[in-house]
Amino acid sequence: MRIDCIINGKNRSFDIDPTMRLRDMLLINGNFAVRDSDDCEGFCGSDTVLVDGTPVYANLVLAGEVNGCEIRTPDGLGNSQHLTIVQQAMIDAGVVQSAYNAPAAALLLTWLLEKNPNPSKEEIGKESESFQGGDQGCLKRNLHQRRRL
Amino acid sequence: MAEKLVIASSAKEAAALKNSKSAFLAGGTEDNRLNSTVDAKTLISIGRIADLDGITKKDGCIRIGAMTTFQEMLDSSLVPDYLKDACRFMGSRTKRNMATVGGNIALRRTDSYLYPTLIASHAVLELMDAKGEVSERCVCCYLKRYDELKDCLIVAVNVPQKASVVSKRYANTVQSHAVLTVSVGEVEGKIRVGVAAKNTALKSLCDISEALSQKDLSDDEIKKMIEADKDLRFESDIFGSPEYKRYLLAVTISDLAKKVKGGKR
Ligand SMILES: Cc1cc2nc3c(=O)[nH]c(=O)nc-3n(C[C@H](O)[C@H](O)[C@H](O)COP(=O)(O)OP(=O)(O)OC[C@H]3O[C@@H](n4cnc5c(N)ncnc54)[C@H](O)[C@@H]3O)c2cc1C
Repeated sequence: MRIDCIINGKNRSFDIDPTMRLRDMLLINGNFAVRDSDDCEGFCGSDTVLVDGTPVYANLVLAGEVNGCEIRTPDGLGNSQHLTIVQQAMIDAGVVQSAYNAPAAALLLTWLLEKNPNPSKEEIGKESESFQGGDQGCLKRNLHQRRRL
Repeated sequence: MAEKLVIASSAKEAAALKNSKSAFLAGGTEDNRLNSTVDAKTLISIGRIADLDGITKKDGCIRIGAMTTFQEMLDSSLVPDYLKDACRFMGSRTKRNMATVGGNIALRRTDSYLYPTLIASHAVLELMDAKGEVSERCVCCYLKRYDELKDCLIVAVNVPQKASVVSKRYANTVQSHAVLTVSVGEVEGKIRVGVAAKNTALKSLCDISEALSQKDLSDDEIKKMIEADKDLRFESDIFGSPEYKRYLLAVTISDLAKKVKGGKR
């Protein structure tokens, strides 16, 4: 099946099996920051991407479902030379506890701050629910840090 | 993993395609996960069918399209608070963006997030069969007659706008599976008790509901009725002994019934 979509602002076409997981399609495209730390179980959050502006787990979406969609991955934020303000704040707060979840956390925080530049403590707590384990605490700390910037 | 994906363009097309070797693909949080309980060669995507979307109000009822996600229910001003409480049982915000109400109902898990609340609020499903005909069934009837209804497409669920329903979920963490979820509701003067007991049962506790509609019951009376229920054969596991689970269920029902009758949602 031919799949046309926009990935990190660029038009892309794939001729692939539509039952392939979206994460695998993104790997073919070179989006290595979309991690898989729970073997597709669907609870870790390291495979989070935005599809048409909504955070979803890329392992639980099929490639055939994103035809015509706009996708954002953590690779579309900054790079090692030019970090975004969120990525820099994560380093400043020492949030990079898990290199698996950190890219997805940066994407989710960026998404949250784009929607709501001044989130409350409760709103920050709710967003960090998408990650499992110790990353939640780090994420909350990071967002508090970001609020102070 | 499935071998084929079909993107259905209408509810009728999706319902006609469904058979024992296929499954509907809604949010995909169960269909596409590792060790999924869904075993299907073909997935019928129902994500682009407008008829399955939307939340509307009619005659004191809130109609929720089957493709509505948990997060959309939480964001809606129409969805009653008692159902929002149940949506919050799904801890991950990202999963709430994906998982749908239709998928949750079809799965009938014994640790279901929504079923106890849907039973307690006497929710009614709109089901479409392979011929495209739509019928209405209450959730309890869907559970009882699942074998004959399993290939139907759930089109929407209707819940009363004004019902007094309270729920309680027991799990190690919000991300863990629940050992017990209990809801007690009062709709038009009738009490209904719904329970999801992990690896044990997903059901409406009809006898207890009847009795509670007539009078108040003590914890002991509820416990005796639980012991007499053949479906509630609890097993001993990491969450506790059968005796403990029966005790927990009894005191929870008793507590929730007091809240419902006292008007504290
Ligand atoms: C880590 C993890 C933990 C989970 N824990 C729980 C839990 O504790 N409790 C719980 O209840 N669920 C749990 N789930 C399962 C799931 O997230 C929810 O039940 C969700 O609501 C399923 O909806 P979906 O749209 O993702 O369904 P899908 O995965 O798309 O579909 C699941 C099934 O429902 C059927 N279906 C979907 N839509 C319809 C429809 N409109 N009509 C008829 N049949 C339909 C499909 O045929 C398929 O068999 C968990 C999932 C994950 C990944």
